[in-house]
Formats: sequence, structure tokens, C-alpha cells
Amino acid sequence: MTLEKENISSKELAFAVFCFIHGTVLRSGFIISVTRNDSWAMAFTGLLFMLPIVAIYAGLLRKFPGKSLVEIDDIIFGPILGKVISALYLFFFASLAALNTRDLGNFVAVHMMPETPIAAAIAVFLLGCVYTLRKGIENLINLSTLLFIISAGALALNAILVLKEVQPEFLKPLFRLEPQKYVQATVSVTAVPMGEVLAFTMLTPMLGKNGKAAKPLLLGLVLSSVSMAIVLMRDIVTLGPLVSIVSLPAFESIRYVSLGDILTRLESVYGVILIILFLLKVSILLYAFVLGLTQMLSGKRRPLSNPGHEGQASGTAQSLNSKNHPPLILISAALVFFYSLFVFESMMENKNWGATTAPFFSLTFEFLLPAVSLLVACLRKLGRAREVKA
Amino acid sequence: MNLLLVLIAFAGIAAIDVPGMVKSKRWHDLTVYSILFLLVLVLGILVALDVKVPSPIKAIQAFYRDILHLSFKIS
Repeated sequence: MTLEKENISSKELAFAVFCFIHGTVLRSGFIISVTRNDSWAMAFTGLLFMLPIVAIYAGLLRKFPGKSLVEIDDIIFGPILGKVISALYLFFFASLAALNTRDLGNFVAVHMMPETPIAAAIAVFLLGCVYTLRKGIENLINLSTLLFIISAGALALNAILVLKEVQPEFLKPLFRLEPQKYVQATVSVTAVPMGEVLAFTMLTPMLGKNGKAAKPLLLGLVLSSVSMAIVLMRDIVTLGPLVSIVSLPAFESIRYVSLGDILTRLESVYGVILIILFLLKVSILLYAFVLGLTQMLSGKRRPLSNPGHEGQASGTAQSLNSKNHPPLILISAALVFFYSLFVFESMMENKNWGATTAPFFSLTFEFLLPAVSLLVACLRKLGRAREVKA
Repeated sequence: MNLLLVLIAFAGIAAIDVPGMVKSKRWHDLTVYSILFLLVLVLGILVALDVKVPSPIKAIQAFYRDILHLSFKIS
């Protein structure tokens, strides 16, 4: 395994955040079913609600530079309670990985290869994730710049090519729904695609400089919310009332693209991009799970790094090195594989979960636990400020 | 058939992961790894035998909806 001395730049991290969220944005049905033709605005209200959450992550990462979420829990809550909280985070990462893997399997089995068993599609996909992690997460993050260019380019091209099918009157009437619908959609956007960037708090120790995680996270979120607004608006003005009926509005609106008889069936391009974005997302979630598990099992706490000290960047990544710890990538991927197979019995159960409970479940880990951690760290005067005094 | 595929897959995983730990005599790592391996193997065998494994997500959904009363209504 070549996971040593990994470093990523702030720009690459921002693009990785964009790609991580964009995979979910392309499956925008869960927002449109709530706020229908006003859904595009939820991309911005969701971003506003995300700002305090990013501030909490930034506060924790500034207090404990070079530390991952699991290590921070250990410092704040002690070795026993810290491990219990870390285990909850790991369950969250594994669940997200399984849910996204299941979504990918459903997409392939329904839209791309209907005769292929879902287990086969998921197995091949997870083998791709394992291959990616064994080659090094740094390489995947480096690739995110290219993935950003491809997915943003495809988004712009689709939006231009579908212009002749657009009917702006589908956006009306504007903002006439009950206020609680907008609250529901805003919370869903904040919790489901945006808040999942919590997984990046396991990667931020790989940034070369301390305390610089907030800017790339924020830039990635801003780019994502702009792309989300464009995707949602395109789907609404293209599909009209159909937008809240179809399961994948983005997939259906791209079907409208036809330039003469030459450029048609562009939904297959969408399918390929969606699978690649899912690969990035599940690989990052799997990495967060494996790294957290490795750190929990190793039980060794690394000292807090000094500001500006570059050498710490490789520390967290090194802890995945198979020469020092049990190799957990393959067995973790196997766990996610089986979990994704029994997580839901039908797509209706999956939709019901996403529309009703998933935002509250996600916010428990994305907002409540980090907020409590930061509060306890401040009350106990833990973190960098205290080290400097000492 | 499914069970056979699961057993072959796990044999492959063990063949890739275990020799390195045995060679370098990392017995503690091997113990930790073996426990995880056995847990996931049991899960895999249950899924392969079509035994209905309860989904933790459904239990969480019931907990949030029925006990905490934190759940959106579907329109």
C-alpha cells in the first residue's frame, strides 16, 4: 500500500469537496419532491445553514492541527468516551458508504444495465474503490481537479444544449408553498449532500499547512451550491410538472438534448460521470472509515503539532500503512458490500428514509456531536492555545 | 452458489492480507484482523443464505420517528 507521505493542496481539497457533493446533486429528486419549482433557491439557503457547521469544523481543526476527528475525540473526551463517540462517527461513515453504494447499484441496475444483478454492479464498483485506496487517496484527490473540469464542463454543455427545450414559465409561481416546506428542503440540502463533508475532517491532516481547512471546504461548498442551483433550475425549466414525478430529474432532462441527429443520448455521458463521482465519494467515505478504525485500534495518540510544522501532514496518512497496522481496506469494503445489500429492501424504503429521517440522523453527526466536542474543548481549555501557553 | 462465492471471496481477502502479518510476526494485528474478518464473514454467510439481517438504518428510522419524534412528513 502506498499511503505514506501524502499531501494535498487546498485547491485540490476544494475541488474534491465539489465532486463529493456533485454526485448527490445529480440525484436531485429528494429536494424537488418537497419544494418543486422553487427547489433551486434551496441550494443557497442550504449553504447559509452550512456556514455555522463549517465554522465548527474549522474551530476543531484549528484547535487540534494535524489531527483527525477520531484523534480529536480521544483528546477531548478521553480514551473510553472518546472511542465510543469515534465508533458512532465510524458507524455514520460506514452507513453513508453503504447508502451511497446502494444508490449507485440501483442506478446501474435500473438505468444502465437492467439485466445485471445489483450485487455484481456493487461488487465491481467497490473493487474500484479498493483499488483507488490501495493506490493512495492522495492520487484520487489530485484527480479531483480533472474531475471538477469534466463535471463542470458537462454541466455547462448540457445546460447550453438543452436551452431550446427550456420554458421559463415552469419556474412560476415563485415561493408560494407553505414555509415549513422550505425549512424541510433547506435542512435536507444542508444535512444530506453538504454536511457529508464531515468525512473530509479525516483528510484535512493531509493538508500541508495548519488551520487552512475552512477555506477549501467553504470554496467547495460555494461551487457546489452554484452547480446545484444550475442543475435544479435546468431540470425545472426543462421538465416542468414532470420534474417532481421522475426518479432522476437530471437524467431525464439530459435526454432532451438533441443536436441534429448527431449529438443525442447524452444521458450515457451523465451515467459515466455519475459513476466516477460516486467512486470518489464512496472511496473518501471508505477511507474515513478505515483510517478511523485503524486509529481507534492502534490507540496511540500523536502529540499536537506546532503551527507551521509541515512534517505532521503525513502522520495521519501513515497510520494506514500496512507495515504498522492490520490491513483493513479489503475487509471494510466487504462490510460495506454486505451492508449495502440489506440496508433497504426496496427503493421506496430508501426514498422514505431520505425524505423523512436522513436529515435528522445526519445532523446528529454533522452538527450536534462536533458542536458538543468544540464546546467541551473550549470549556476544558484543550487544544493549541493551551499548548502554546505551556 | 452464493455461499461458495462468498467463501471464495473471503479466501482471496485472507490470502492477500494475512501473509504480510504472519511474515512480520504482527500477532496483535493478526488477532484484531481475525476478529473483524470473522464478524464480516458471518455477515456475508447470512446474506448469502438469504437470512433476513435486520438493517440498522430501519432501527434508527424508528428511533428518530417514534421516540425522538424527529421526522419530516411526506407530502
